[in-house]
Amino acid sequence: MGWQGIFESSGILFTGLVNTLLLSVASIATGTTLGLIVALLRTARIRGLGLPLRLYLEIFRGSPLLVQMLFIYFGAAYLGIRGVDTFMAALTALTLYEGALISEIFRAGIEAVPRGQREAARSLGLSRYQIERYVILPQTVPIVLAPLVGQYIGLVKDTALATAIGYFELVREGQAIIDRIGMPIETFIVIAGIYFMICYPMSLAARRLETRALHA
Amino acid sequence: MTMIELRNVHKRFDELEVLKGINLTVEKGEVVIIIGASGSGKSTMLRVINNLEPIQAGEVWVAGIPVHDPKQAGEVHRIAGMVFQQFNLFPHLTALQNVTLALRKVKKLDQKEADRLGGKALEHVGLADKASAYPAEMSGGQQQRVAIARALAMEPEIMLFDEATSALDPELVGEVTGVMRQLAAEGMTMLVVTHEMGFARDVGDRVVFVDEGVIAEEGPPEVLFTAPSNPRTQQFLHRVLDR
Amino acid sequence: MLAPWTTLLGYSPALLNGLWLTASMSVLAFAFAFALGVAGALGRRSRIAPLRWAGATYVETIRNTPVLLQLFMIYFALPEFGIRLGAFEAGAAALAINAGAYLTEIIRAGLQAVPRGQLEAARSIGLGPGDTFRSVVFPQALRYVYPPVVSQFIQVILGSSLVSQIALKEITNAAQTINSQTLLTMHVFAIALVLYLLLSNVTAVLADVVGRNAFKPPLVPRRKGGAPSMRDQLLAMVRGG
Repeated sequence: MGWQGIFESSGILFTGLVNTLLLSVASIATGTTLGLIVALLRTARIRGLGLPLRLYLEIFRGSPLLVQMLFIYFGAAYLGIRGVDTFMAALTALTLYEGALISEIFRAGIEAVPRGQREAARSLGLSRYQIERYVILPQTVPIVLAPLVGQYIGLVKDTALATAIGYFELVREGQAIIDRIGMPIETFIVIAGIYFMICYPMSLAARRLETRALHA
Repeated sequence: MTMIELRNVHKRFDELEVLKGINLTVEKGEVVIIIGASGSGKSTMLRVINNLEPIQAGEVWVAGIPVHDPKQAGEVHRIAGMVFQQFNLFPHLTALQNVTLALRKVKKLDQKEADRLGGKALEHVGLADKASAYPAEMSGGQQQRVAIARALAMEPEIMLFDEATSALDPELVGEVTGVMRQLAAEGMTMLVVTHEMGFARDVGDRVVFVDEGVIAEEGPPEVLFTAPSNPRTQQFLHRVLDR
Repeated sequence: MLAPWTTLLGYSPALLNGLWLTASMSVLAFAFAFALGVAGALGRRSRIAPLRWAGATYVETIRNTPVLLQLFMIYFALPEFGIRLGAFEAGAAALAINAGAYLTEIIRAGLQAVPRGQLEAARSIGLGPGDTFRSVVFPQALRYVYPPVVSQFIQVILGSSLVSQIALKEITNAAQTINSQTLLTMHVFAIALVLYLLLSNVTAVLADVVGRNAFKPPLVPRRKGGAPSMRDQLLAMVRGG
């Protein structure tokens, strides 16, 4: 059957998978870092940062990731910024977008830690940094794990949008295969299957983390 | 030696003025009990002393440190230790780790020395055997005693107790007041906000009655509890003691 | 300085057309998505095992694969089965099916949150299952999940940008076209961003108003200063799950 054609295209598929995973892992790392920093800055209520951070969040949560990605990719070319290839543009867009969403997850976690914890820590003379590092953040982790994993699942799926700027991730490679051998149904099913095999275990993990967090 | 001095302290929360001109002194070694209705401002007073709340007017002096001056206020934590109604133990740390965290991070002791002093503090409150237990594995009374040990380990000169037994089941109150009595007997300067009138009568050197943001009356327990001069004090005691 | 904007002003018909397509497709998609959500939720709660299984499969398959892929499957693969949809229909269908999966879970949670006592009381006064659902259970479930449901609507609006990839001339596609013609990249994409921000914020504010006034008793009490407005809550929930 035509499945032979797909099998022979496995090289293309593999490239797509690697590129998807690369972009996913990189954005998870950068997005989480940015999200954590923004959350800490917001909860610290530093003068002058309140409005800019709020604007950042409003813009990146209230508009589509696709448009943000196009803006960054074509905008970089427009501004003459070199070195912004499809990977960098996609990574930047994903970092900013996911960073905004992740920062809200962290912020909710930080604010969920009872106020008394901070007061007790202050009474002992711990510095601001020490309080966040040794008392608040360790307690934030179990609270934010489940929503974070949920967000990461979304992130992996969002990497598909990089197709629009020509990044050779799974969906684009899938289209390349279809261009070569046809068989859109089978090809797309295989691509969907690959995404499912990445995301579904993460969903199960997130669900387990959520029940654990409730019982903590 | 005067350990704590409040001069004409005013404190507001948004529109609501909670402290309306508090004047108070506490001498070294004194055990001062603070009583009053909910919302009278007694907890706020304690929190102001410990730099957990800012004031709008007045002065707060703790062992010579001007707590009303934001630049020097942080120093107060070297002198004063605080025990909270909700214990506020760090749930992700064992009892010993709770006690040694500040020893390591603030006093910069090494692990061995911190553990040694921490162990001693836990012994002091009778919980040496619970050193590796987590707060969730302990009763309320035990948790509060660990909280006391945690504050004591920093060798404060003053101990502030903010309704330390109010969140405890009645049968657990005794183990905590027991530790507090011990501290008082050892000469610790203590400021205690409480509803436990028995403790106040036995251990207090002076009782301060706070009513609607001002100190309505103060005096030795034997006088204030039996023959209060202020009618508001009489009303309050009547409500609280004749349950 | 003003020149780029005046040039783009000339393209306003394309942008406004894009805005209309985005809005109309989103509304249509969401209507179907909601219906799917109710059906899915009922299916997952049904006593008939195959229905439960179908509901679960629907939800897990959709939520663990990218919506762009789902769109491409509908637009490029369905023709193999003889179903040839235009870009608008395909977009609406993909958005509907995708949002429907999320709404299934949202509405399911809402139904679950209605206390057992409500069902028992309804039975005691003689209400049949249909009426119980329509008059007692569903209205309460909806009240619980109103914010997440509106949040999904906003998600659909933002997700409609993907349909640009199958050449529907909605906002994003219009922006891309204008960009290739004028090379005023920053300007036109900024306008696109602003249009979407407008759509999501207006939706949130309208939802807030509806929430206060259309529900009896009101969903959210007259706001006292300090409580987060529904708009903030909604935007906070975008992509929350």
